[in-house]
Amino acid sequence: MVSRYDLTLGLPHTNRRGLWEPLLLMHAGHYLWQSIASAIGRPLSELRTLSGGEVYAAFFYIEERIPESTPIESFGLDATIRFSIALRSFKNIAVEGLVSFDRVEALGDTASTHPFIRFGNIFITPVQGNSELRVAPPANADFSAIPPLPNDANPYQLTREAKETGSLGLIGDTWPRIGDVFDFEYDIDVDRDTNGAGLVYFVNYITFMERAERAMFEARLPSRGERSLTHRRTAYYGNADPRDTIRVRLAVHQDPHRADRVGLRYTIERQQDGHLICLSEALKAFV
Amino acid sequence: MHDVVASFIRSRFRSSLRGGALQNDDPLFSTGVIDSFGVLELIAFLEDTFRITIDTSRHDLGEFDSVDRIVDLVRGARQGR
Repeated sequence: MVSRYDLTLGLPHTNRRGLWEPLLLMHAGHYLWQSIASAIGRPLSELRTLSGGEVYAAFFYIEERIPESTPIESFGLDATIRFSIALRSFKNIAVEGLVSFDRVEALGDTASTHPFIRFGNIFITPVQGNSELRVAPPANADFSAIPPLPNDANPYQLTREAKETGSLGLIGDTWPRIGDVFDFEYDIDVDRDTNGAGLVYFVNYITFMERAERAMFEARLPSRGERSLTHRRTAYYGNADPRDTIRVRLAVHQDPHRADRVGLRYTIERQQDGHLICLSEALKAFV
Repeated sequence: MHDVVASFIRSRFRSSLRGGALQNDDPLFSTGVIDSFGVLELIAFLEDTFRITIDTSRHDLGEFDSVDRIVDLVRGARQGR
């Protein structure tokens, strides 16, 4: 079962360079949850646990693969992008969404590799404010239309391993680090950064990383040019309270095989208790 | 059955046990031995090992909160409860 959604880009979807990664994820993620709601036959806002508790949909893993022939920024104003979404689920607890996308006119080219995003999603309920998220399977939805997700294919395995090793596997052990780890603090903006569930929206963690990255390059590597994402993995372990301060720790590693590419490893923690919220690794090429 | 379940938890969630002992009535979630997402692994293990199907829309996650409770749940699933 594949769902398709078309998006024609306008100014709200772009920044100065074209389509922007956080805006891409925002729309792809929204289409994903629309396709899940369609598959289970119920709007997500109506989902409840066995005991009647509210259930929210959360992202716990994201992988983006962007061919260098089709950088995100190459999608400009008035381009129509088609998103094709295939789902698998582990019972009524976790859902994997594979989202491939490209310009409508490019999709007929079967020889080309199209960009794709893999989302790992889980149903949760907040505990103690937003400081802890607890798995909360909805009891009032039918997941039988979604093909099963085998346990060993569940991206949960990757997130768990990354929490133990600190690595998501994109940056080689031998890649030399450029300079010291860069620390960046950010005060959550209670209006701009939250979503309708009162949680810090998952996409905004990417924007926090981007802010840290920009600050680091401007301070330490001002002569290096703009960067374009080719591959990113992100694992989420918790959430911040809307009045928290978070700390982004950024390490930049040189790809020893390509002078024009770096690997970036981001760690996001809540400042007040050091709780790990998010790990991310990205490969970016200088453009 | 208690030993099989406890052995899995000890091996898979070893880092959060921090070398401590695991009693059959120890709470698993509230003490952080198993983080919330770990229930995915636990359910998959129980289904594979005991050849049962756990209908998660009929069970509260609190039913997985100790070795004793997990064993009760598995026995119930075997009896079609």
